[in-house]
Amino acid sequence: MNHLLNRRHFLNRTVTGLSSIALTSLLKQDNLLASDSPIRPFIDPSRPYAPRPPHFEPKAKQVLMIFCSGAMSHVDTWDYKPELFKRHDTPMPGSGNLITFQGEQGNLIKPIRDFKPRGQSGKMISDLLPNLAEMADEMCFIHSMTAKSNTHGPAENQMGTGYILDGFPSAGAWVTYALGSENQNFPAFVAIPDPRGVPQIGPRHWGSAFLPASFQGTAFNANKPIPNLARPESISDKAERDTRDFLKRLNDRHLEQNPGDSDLAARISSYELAARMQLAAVEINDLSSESPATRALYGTEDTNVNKAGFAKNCILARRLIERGVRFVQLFNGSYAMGEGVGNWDGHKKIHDQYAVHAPILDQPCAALLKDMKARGLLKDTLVVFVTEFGRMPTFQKGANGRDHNPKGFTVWLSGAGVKRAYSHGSTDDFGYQAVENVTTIYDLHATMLHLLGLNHERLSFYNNGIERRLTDVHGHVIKDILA
Amino acid sequence: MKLLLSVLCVPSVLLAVDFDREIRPLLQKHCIECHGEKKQKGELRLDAKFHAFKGGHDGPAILAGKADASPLFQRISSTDDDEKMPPKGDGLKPEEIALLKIWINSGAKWPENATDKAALTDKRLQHWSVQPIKVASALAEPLGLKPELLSIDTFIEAKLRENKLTPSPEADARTLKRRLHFDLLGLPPDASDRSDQAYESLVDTLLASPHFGERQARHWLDIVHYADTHGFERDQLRPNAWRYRDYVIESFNADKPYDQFIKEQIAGDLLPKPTITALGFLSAGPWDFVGQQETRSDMLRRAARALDLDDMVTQTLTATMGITINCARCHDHKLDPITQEEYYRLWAVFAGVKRGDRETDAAESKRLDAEKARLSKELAQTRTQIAKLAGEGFELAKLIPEASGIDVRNGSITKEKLGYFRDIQTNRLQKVPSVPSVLWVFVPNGPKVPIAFKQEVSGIPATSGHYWDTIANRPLNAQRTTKIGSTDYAAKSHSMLAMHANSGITFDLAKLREQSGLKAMRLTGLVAFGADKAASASKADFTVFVDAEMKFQKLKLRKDETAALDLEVPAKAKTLTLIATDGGDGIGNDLLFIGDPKLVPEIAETRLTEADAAQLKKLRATAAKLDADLKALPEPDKVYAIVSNEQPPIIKVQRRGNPEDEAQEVTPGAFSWVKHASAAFGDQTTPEAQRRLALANWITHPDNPLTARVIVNRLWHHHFGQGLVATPSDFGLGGDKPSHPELLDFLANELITHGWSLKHIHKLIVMSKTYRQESGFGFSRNDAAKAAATLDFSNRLLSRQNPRRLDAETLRDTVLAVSGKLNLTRGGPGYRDFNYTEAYAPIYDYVTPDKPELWRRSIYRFIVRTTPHQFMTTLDCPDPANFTPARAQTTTALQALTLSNNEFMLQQSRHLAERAKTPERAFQLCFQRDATPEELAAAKQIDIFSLCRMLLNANEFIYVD
Repeated sequence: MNHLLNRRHFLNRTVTGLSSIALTSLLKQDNLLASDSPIRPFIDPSRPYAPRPPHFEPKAKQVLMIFCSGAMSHVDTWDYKPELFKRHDTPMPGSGNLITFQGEQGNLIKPIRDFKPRGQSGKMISDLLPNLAEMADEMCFIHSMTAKSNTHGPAENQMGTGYILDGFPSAGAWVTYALGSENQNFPAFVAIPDPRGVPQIGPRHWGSAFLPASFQGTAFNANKPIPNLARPESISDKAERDTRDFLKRLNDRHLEQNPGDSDLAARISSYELAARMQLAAVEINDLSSESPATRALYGTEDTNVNKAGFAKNCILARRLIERGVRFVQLFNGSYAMGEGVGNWDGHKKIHDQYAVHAPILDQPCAALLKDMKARGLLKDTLVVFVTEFGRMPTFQKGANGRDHNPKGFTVWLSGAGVKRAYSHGSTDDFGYQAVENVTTIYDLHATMLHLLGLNHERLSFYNNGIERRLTDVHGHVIKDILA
Repeated sequence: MKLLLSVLCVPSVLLAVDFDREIRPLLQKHCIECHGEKKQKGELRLDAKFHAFKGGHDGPAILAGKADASPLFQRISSTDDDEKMPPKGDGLKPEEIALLKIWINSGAKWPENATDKAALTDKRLQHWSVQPIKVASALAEPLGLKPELLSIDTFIEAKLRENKLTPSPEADARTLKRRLHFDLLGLPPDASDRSDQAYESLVDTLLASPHFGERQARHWLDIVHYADTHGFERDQLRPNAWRYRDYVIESFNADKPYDQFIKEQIAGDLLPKPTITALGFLSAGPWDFVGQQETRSDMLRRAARALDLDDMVTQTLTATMGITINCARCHDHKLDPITQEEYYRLWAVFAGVKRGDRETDAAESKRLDAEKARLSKELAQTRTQIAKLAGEGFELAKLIPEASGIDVRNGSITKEKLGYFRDIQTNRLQKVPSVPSVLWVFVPNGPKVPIAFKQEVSGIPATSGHYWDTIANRPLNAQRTTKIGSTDYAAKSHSMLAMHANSGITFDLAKLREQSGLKAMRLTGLVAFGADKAASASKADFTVFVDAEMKFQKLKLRKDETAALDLEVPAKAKTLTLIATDGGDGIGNDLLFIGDPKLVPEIAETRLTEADAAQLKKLRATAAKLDADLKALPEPDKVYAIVSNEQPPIIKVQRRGNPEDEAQEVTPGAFSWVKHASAAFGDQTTPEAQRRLALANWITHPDNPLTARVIVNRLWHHHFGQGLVATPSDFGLGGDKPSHPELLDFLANELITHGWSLKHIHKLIVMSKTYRQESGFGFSRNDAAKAAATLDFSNRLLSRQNPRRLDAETLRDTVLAVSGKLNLTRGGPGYRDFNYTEAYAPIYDYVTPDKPELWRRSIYRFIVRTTPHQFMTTLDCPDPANFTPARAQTTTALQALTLSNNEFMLQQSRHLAERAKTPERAFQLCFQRDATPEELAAAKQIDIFSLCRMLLNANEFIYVD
């Protein structure tokens, strides 16, 4: 038992009878109210997902994180660089004998699609993602993002957990650890893998590492339900109810012999939650209640099965947000299929590869944003659209594609608390490296926590001698993009 | 402003500032919060004279007589928001600023008071955990007892009395039996054993059980983050890691003295009786294949090596001494008096150490090597004789022009040595126009590989698809050796066909027959690695096809192995294909070559005298036997441990932990916070081995106060659910204070004076009254119990035992035990409950077949580092990326769903139902007690399977009271 749990015992066994005011004052006292002392939220073991107060008034209550696996090229999508058209097929000035991840670089190559002004803001976005481009006025771009690694695994780790190493809790785990959830019938944190599979680091995107396991994301999508959710087919509904009643009686009797043990009570209530979750989880994936218009908007009936599958995942994401799930992670692309086959890793034949991937993402994801806006969900939800790093403005020597580039790439945010139709920071004339308002993944995470009313420097968890944070010892809130 | 100006204009000498009355309060009010005893931003302290004048990160803050040049004054008077101090709030008032200026300019006189003096001594040096362990007499005296009367209960009861609490009564026999079984063995008592063995005798039986070590090893493997794969992006297998796991189990079973246990794990190769398997300790953690080997960037390599050394140092010091040494990697430790330099001194201890497979018995390996060399030599000699008798044959290598190779990408002939190709299309046949007898070359990548026009074969493993240099009639680029045994195949009298993985070549036999005049032939030669010792872990495969028929295959050939070719090539065969593949571990070091590859005439085709024919037959038989003997030689046993055969490189302090920003050199050593022995382990010339041995001796020195305290606290933690120190791997200033410091010392003394016997401590603990108490709150019992429930919520004072939940492994083992399916086979390679697919990043798919091999105890699970085991993880089994001194315990609906519906649970529920047959028996098996009449009545309302399924979900099953 670690001391977090001692705290839990302490609180649970003593304070349940006191008023919430007493509780608050107790907690405050414990934190000594110092302005930069660590804040470790207190977890009630019987209700780990109980909503917990943020550190200050939040702008956003929920997060939808969309992750494009394989490193989406910023120069072919969001980051317009006229120089690339002008200097097409000429050497990149000043690049010398640049060696990137896969080796030597060839000439600058213009974006694989043309750019056009979009929305009222006239933001230049390429034709690769025409539906998403239409939503430009809802987006707040960060064009100066940088990553610490140019290898998929560590870079995905960094975007997902803040550290390039394995073994750190995901952003979603941190957020649900801090805030719990508004929905008690559902896991607080849901990850929706792409129909084609999972990204390179797989479950580490939604792992809890050293945080309590309750805060790990539960992974399922429109095609693949929560593991172990359904009762075995051989057992009838009535038999299932009878056996559960039996278990309850057994446990109640045991509790009578061990009065006051909150852990035992917590386990009893976990079975009740499981029963509710069984119903809720079946309901959430039942898209028949969605109107034909909505389904068409997302493209759920598309003949491209990957697109239709991703479209269903997008609807699922919206439904989870609607039901108050705190943190939803939606994945586009999978690594299991190999380089560039099922993901944005366009090293060799970026024209062909992106022609496959873009349509899978574009319509469903744009529909999700549009639908969320129409339903007022963007008011309380922060949408964060990311990828692990960008790609080179040059083609690789001897190939028709772009190599990894962690020195400058684009992510965008939308919804609660961020400016609309806004662009922050920029890369150089070629999109090679961030030069203005250079931003780090720590900054992105700090900003995300800030919007949720959490101080990224104080939200912490003691692990092996260190007060661990999502942002390590770095990170600044990007004030410029706050609405 | 006017006031300010006027004050500043007054010549300072005219004003006498009273430091204690005017300046000290100013510093207190504005500065101390961030620059005081608790916090030292910029490493600056302004609460005491010594520190204030010493200054901080940027040098002295106060320059007496020169206010304008003093950073303190510059910062408080700055108008720049980024510069101004204090950073928040209104800052100092003008008149306060003026006072400070005058004070500095008038000489910054700071009369020393008690606070200033106290600040001169570093309180951290008096931290409890680094003080010597108190001897029994010193512990007994305050209690007014004779030392020999001390016991665990003395200390616990004294503290309870002090707090007006009373211990709980002893738990009933069934509860104690369960508690002992789970704590010592991690298994439930046998329900059929209803004997009431006396408590102490039961304790002795359990401590002697071979399953004791299995339970205790799990705790140790948690703190060393053991797994059976490397981790990181390419999470490859560590097939030999398990020997370390077995070493740990055996050590606990044998009650190996704890100091010896530690020494072996750090320097087991250097002890009088070498224990190589123990060295798996240093390599138990993750290892980055991409960063250490695959990458072409030296910078990434340095970064990966830095993580590697950090992991070894951190694990060693947290596991043994409970010191969070890793906190001093980027800066001096923030809480403990450990400098960054001291941290890097520990790097210097391990600087010559790398992780890798190592032979567990050097003598045996040497014998096997010699035997192998002898057999190989004899075989080569026999082959030479055969070749002489059967005719010279036809040298395959010499089909390729001299000192040239075939470029597999385009079939051209080149004299150049080429490099690494990763972007070639695999399984594409490439013509070789200039060598008529070679039909095709290609880069093979199974499962289906085309070897000739419209001819596909299977049985070739999947490969990385990468390739190196050429198929050559000469040594390859970077070829380390061309010798097998003492024969150099690059010498004039021999020939070699070099084939680096992944490559394939198909010969046209019709053309070869034309050229040689041979009909029925045999292919002979010796396949070997052209790599050196450094490539010891590398594997490669070699396959030969005649037409589409596989005639020869050697998978996972190692660098010190050879494979003899002697196979039939019938007169009607059309093609001969040779294929080298990478053995599943990438193409690094796969410098395969065939020594003297020849097509020799089949005996029947030659016109030999009868005597020669007989002789040839005999020689062939000899060769066959030698070949068989060679193949029958066992692989030497290996363990994934450390290899260390070089003089360590010089280690330098890395500023902010950045390998690209090095500062001063350091020599091997440790930190001087604990004073039991010198923390200097030598200089730059000290051999690698001596450094580790010195560290091992330093850690296990009997006067080291931490090592003994840390381990007895861990044992306490496992028996009570929480340690006397609640942070078992952090005994520093950031860790918990001991609830019973004297008891901790008592146990540490007991350990050391009883030959570091861990079983002695286990027995002391489980024999104590404290351990045997009831675990319930006992609300109904008396007022004292109620008082305990309110006064000591977390039960630090132990007025009762703590109820504990089974951890993931114990729960799984217990389910198997009660279902009757537990397979108690001990030791050996772990069971793999996943399907493994070889790939760049291997794929591990967990499966749940209902088979005895998978019913072994969870300690024998083959642990995949990066792909979590859904069932175990959901039950709080920790991530082996992390050190886990204390397991977290959570309660979630997913656990409820997993335990109710997971396939494994359903299978075992069925087995349990079959075994139990009746509800009565099911209760006995699961709870080791009889069901009550009410329970039985309720149980009979549902079928036996459902009953069993629910019993396995019951709190009573999952908790140990």
